[in-house]
Amino acid sequence: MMDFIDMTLVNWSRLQFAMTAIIHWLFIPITIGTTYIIAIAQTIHVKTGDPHWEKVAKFWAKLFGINFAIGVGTGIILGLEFGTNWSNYSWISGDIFGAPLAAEGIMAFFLESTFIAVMFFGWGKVGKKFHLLSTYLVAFGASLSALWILVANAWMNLPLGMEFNPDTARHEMVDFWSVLLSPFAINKFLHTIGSCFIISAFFVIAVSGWYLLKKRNILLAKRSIVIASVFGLLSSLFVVLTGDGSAYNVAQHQPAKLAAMEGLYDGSEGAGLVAFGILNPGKKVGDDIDDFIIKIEIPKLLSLLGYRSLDAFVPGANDLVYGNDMHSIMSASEKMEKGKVALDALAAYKEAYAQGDATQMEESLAVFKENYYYMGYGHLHNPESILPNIPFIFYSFHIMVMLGFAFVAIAALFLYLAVKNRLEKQKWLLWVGIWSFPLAMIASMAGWIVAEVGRQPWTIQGLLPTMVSTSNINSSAVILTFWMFLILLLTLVAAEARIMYLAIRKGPDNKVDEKKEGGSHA
Amino acid sequence: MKAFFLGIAQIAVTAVNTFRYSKLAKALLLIVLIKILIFYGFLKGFLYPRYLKPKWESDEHRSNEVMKDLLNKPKTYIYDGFH
Repeated sequence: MMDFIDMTLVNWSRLQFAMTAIIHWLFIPITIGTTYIIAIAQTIHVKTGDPHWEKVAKFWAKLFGINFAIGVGTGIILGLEFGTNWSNYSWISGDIFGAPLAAEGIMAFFLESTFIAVMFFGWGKVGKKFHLLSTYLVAFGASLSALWILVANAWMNLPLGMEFNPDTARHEMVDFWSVLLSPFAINKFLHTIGSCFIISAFFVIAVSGWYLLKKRNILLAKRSIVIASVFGLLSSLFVVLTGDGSAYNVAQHQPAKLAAMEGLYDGSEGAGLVAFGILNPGKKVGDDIDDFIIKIEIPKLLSLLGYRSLDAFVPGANDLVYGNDMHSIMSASEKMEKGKVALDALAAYKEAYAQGDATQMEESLAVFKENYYYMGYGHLHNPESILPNIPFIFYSFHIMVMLGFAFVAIAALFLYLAVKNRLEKQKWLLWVGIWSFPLAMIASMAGWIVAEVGRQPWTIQGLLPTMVSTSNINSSAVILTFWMFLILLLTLVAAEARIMYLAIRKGPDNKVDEKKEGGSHA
Repeated sequence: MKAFFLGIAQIAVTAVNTFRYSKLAKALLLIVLIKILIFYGFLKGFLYPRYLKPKWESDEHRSNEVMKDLLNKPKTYIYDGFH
């Protein structure tokens, strides 16, 4: 056991996890979202009998296949990291965290991988309806995979349905349904899946836009854009809706994250939502410097979104650190005291257990249970450390939100011009479509930064700080594997980019006469 | 039922033919095989269990070590970092 916390180990472990998760996430949204676009094209083909829709479905299935083959398995590295770099966390949470991950493997992955063979190789070999069903099952399986991972992740933000066992130092699941159906889990799943749909829609729009600029595969591009823009528009609106749900959940359960998202230092009743702002770089919690250099605020909207009331009080960073008696907000120092009481009671319980003192065990356990929900605070040294990095979260959140609203407008514009058959003339918009794909990826990454970095200093909200979650291993092992994984994963990304580019450049198999397509309306 | 199994057999034949004749399919298969070799063979089967994974004699030993960390780490930590 270490006698001190090696922050090099903690920081490198975090950096390694962030790096592998980010690269893993580059593959996921296309896998999840594109299957639905393929399924829609295939459904139209089955309904209408038009062979060109089959060509559309096959082409996107090919690109999906490239992404799937290269991306599959990159999540294994994250699993290795849990066991090696985050073994304390894995032990403490394994009973809860392990169940959704096992469910993912058993239920979702097998569903996805069984029917993917039929989806790829079943054209003309099985009935059209069975083939279509297989495509939908692949899509459903991919989403189901995401569900279990996101349930596990949501539990870290809102730990429910468990009890801490002081004999084993583990959180043990007592209510599976509370974990599965927690408001955080449901909303996180819908919001994240929606973001995957947006990314996939803009992936299709970007490739199709490129074809239109090159004047190639015109009919395929137009038809793909029609599907993708409808899919993208509906998904963007859905993500705005679920984003509201996320804001509400964060306000209820992670007020420090909300304060960081909005750069809110001093809480107020009827708090406004910052639509745009530049934070004062010198601003620190507890000082008198202005929060913002410039900001555009929508009055009362933050209170409405966070607490469903125009005049509700929204606590700021100062309220959370120093407390606010008027609004019954406990200071971080008080929580830290309670946390230390919990940890001391736990230590006393273990000592009494070793000595066989049943009375002392009972007393200590009662004190521990009373202060259990502050246990994590007992590990903190400074009250200010309950806050995440405010500027980082603020800008990440605002980048995500601004891009999210832009996607609604872009998808709507694409749909309008596609229906009017005027897309080819709007070269600027086609370029916007091409750039929207990386921007959608950036928006999604920004969302993950808000979710994960915004939860800091916790791995399990309020109960377990990140610095106590790491393993007792030498940091040089983590540094070494960081570079090893970076090289490995970047090689895969480069392979994906190269193979994907070649497949896009080659285009679909042109069994359908392109000459007939030229002037056709989508 | 017979048609179903015939369809499955045809899918298998198509899959084999695709991997035999398509350059793209061959490249993807190669990538998948290399990944399996690295992820499962090298990382999961060799490097991690032998050299990197923390070792415990039993669950009780591991639980005691985690408990020690839970109870001792707070006393020495000084916050001064980027969250």
